[in-house]
Amino acid sequence: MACFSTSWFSKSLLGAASAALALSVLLSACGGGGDSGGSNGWSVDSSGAVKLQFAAYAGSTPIQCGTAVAGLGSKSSGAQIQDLRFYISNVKLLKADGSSVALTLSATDNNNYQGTDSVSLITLSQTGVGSCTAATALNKLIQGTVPAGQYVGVTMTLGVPFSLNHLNSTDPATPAVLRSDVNPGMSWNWRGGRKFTKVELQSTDTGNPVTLLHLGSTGCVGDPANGVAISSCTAPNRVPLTFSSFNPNTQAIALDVKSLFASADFSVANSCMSSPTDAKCVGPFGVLALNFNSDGTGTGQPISGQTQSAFKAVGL
Amino acid sequence: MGTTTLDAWGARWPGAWLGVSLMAGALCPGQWAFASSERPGHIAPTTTPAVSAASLKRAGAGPADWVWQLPADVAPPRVPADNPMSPAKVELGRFLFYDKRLSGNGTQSCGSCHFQRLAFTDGRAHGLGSTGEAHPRSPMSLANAAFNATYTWANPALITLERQMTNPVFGETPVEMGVNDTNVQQVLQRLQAEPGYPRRFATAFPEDPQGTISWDHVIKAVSAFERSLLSFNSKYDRVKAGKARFSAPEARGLKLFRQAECVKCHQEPNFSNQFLTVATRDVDVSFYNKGLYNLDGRGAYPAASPGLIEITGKAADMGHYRAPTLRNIEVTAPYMHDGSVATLQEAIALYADGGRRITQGHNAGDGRASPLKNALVRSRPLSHQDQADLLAFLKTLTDPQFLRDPRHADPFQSPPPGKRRTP
Repeated sequence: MACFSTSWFSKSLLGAASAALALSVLLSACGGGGDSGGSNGWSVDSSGAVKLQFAAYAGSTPIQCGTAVAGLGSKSSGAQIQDLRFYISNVKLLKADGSSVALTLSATDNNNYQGTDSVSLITLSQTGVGSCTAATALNKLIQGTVPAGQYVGVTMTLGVPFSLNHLNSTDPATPAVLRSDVNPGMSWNWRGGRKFTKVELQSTDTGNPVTLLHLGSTGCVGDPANGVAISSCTAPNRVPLTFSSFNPNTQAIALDVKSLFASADFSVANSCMSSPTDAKCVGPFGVLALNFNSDGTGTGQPISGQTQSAFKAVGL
Repeated sequence: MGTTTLDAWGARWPGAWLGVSLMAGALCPGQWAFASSERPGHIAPTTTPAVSAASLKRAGAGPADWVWQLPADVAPPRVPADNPMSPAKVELGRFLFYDKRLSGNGTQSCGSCHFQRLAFTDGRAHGLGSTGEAHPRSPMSLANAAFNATYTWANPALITLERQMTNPVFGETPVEMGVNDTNVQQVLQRLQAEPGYPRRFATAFPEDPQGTISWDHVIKAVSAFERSLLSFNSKYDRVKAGKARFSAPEARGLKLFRQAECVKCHQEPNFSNQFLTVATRDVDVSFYNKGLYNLDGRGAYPAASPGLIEITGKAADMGHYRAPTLRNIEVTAPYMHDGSVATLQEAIALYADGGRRITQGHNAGDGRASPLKNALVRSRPLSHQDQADLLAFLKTLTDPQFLRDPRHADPFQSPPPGKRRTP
């Protein structure tokens, strides 16, 4: 079954070592390396507290609602953020010996859920500011605890784990962070799950066409014979994000929209809603290193030997 | 018209029903049961007893006081374990179904696109949302919607009315009811401010005597109301029950309906496919390509609504849709998923021709030659008289009582005359 995150997760850890060199080159090239910890890494004290910060970037420039973003896409266009939210799940800290330790989230609330799987909603846009149309409050942090000790990096998944993704969006028993009454914009009822990302940019070109990525699992179907709402998906579309050398005390994890939409022509609308046959998804899925073919045969699995380049470490 | 009580069947999905018939006490409430040696999807095929309403009536009392009014040969629909039917819930659902406060901008209710007199369609080729956005597809009839294995025109990700409803309420592409991040709580507050509602919620959801108005309860109540929209009182049903007689053209039309294999997809008793009851053993979740379009010689449908392929991504699923019920088909024009067939005569002629050829415009192409077309859709020698008789038969599927049943009507428009009722 392709939908469980564990199957690819172990694979991604194997790939992480080979990707580490390329990643460190990328980080220094982006000028966002900061104190990457070196071989000794960084220590977590007896409180166990760890705070991961997230940010929105366009290239090397931090952006937020209202920022006039320039130099986007194939025609170097201008745009503003309209919506920028994404789910991060199962954060783990990496040790120098290659082992990993799960981060236990500090709270279960409207932005976080800690269970067998954990998930957090990162919100980098706020309604009423600039062109931003959705989300009432920002949430740039994932906070949690790990055993005290030395760590060198962090790994996580962009997306909602299969075990949580297809829970009833209006059931009070469903974690608030995944519910339609709390975060309606992130529910994706048409495909029986959640939008993993809601990244929407409004171009400054004529007509303000929108370029967007709604990433999420596709090919999901229910099993009416057994009353199972969603029993399988053909394309999980979850992205492993691994930063082998990362220090949360000095660095943040940034979504670089310039990189994500590098091939898009912002003078027209570019709507990728993860539809398995949508040619407009080829660009962003490629940047995320997810297997995608616009003839519908994409597997939605991370491409072996490739690393996503939309999320990167930046200095605080 | 026989009746079968829900408590006899259990106010749950067939887990409870099987618990009565097969393995009493062995099941967790609401869970499905199948022997471990069988593959999931096929429920204990050999030991299921023949359905008998009378025997099941004796099986024991359940929690609900709901009575399914169904023909003797139609078993009740499956009802999610966490949303049992009750008259109070159905009545609350009726108010909510017709309450415009349920949309983001307060201009539309479910009933704005589902008119009872049109068997809960709206007469439009494309539904129109609360913010003026047109839907790529035509609103579907809600008659006997309780019995569908999957919902909407072609979406196997939606297997309950509860899950279906979250789409018109929260959907963004297109916007229908337009409930979003900004107004999601405001909509609930509007309902809370209506003095009649808290009491009705408390009665409908006795486990919550405070009468909390939540989206969970709103969606469950409306879904229960939709499950109550039963249409089994057409002339066809009365003929079947020995209470009426077909005219000669109607009788000939039914014969042709079966001979020409229309019935292969539009199966009795609902004249649909994907008909699912508590007694169903093999669940049908098939979708069909009817040769409506062939844009590229390879069977392509217009991008706005390509059918099942939109969900599955499989090339072979291009243009595949559910076969919706033909009950009340006389009043649900225009036809097909995109309303592209204006009349029932045209729809019959299209099938007689084995698909549709469009000679000009951006949808031009010969659907009859589509390689993806279902083999049952093929040219058939049906004379004008044959087609007229088929039409006569299809009109016997109209259920006038259903179309004006006060239990399904807009309570805000009901008597006393001229005075808007409140919950």
